[in-house]
Amino acid sequence: MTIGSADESLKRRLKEMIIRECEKDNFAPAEVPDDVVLFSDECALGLDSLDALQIAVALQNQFSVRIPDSKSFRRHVTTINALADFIQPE
Amino acid sequence: MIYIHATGIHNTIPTSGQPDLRAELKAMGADNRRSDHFMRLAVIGAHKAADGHELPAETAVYMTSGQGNTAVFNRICSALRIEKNLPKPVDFINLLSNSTGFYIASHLGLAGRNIFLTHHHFPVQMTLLTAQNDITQGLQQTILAGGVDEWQTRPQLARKLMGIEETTVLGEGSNWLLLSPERENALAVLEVEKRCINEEELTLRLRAESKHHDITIAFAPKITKSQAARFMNQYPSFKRHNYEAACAYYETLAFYALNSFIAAHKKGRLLHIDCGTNGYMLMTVEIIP
Repeated sequence: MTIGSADESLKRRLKEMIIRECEKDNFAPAEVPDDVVLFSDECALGLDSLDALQIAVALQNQFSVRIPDSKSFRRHVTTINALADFIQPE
Repeated sequence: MIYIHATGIHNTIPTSGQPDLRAELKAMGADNRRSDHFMRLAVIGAHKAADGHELPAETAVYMTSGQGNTAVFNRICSALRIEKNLPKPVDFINLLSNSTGFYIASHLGLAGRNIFLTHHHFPVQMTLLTAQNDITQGLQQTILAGGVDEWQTRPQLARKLMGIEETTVLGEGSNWLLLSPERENALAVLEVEKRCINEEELTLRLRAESKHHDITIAFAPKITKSQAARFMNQYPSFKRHNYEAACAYYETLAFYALNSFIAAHKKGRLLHIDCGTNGYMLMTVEIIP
């Protein structure tokens, strides 16, 4: 069974969630790279701190993953691969 | 007495749910992201009033609503109470007192006073009265004043809360006036009566108005059909502004009544009559030919 960053279905769901919650409707999930830091200039999504809050709440509501503070968010929500590994650790 | 320089009318009778306003808003160059239906409605109406006018940056925004941002309020309550989930942060932020006013100011590049007024019986009159006071006292030079009400996603409950008949058709609207103390280039003069009057005072007032030529009367939905008919029979020279024919019910309809009169007339005087538990409230609009 594939889990974490090896699970393409999970990564697609995460990308769809980010696009939906952050209202980045002009992006398709395929356009969100797996290995680029989401909150960086390299990521075309252009996310900000309010998007981080939206994502944190959506992760709790949809994946039952609680991110208690900004330090924890910065550690776990870096790339799609890292986020997938955080949700489904080996 | 203050002057109306522009009107912005957005008035619809939705047939199946809240209409999608994103394309219209996008065409106006406004950013849809993180806004909700109520905010989009507000921005569209305000944009129409401001369109073609170079608004000074210190232009104030005075806004009102009968029901407010109920769809998002319902969504937050549903998340908390039924789904037992956290509400979306953006929904929570958008419900904060004057977030809608911020969106309007941001879209139009305004940095003036920005207030959201509410009043149980007379939301429109109280908003315009505040604007009138602030302009006549020299506190504001330009005010964008408007009323916004969205179509209710739970119409039966909404009718019950608003105290209207179960068969009343619900609409939505965002109607705005650009106000200033300057007469030059103005479309009309607006005067909002400062206090409620009783039936006897209203009769005296109507008698005085009947001496003017070209008087049109607009009745708020709270004035019953029989009351309206009685007034019209007493003063046969008055014409009736049948704005109701082009709209469905929402609580800030008085704005639409004034705006639609200004849009449709090149001259004349409109007397808008509304009533609450403490009596009648009057507003007059006189078109500047």
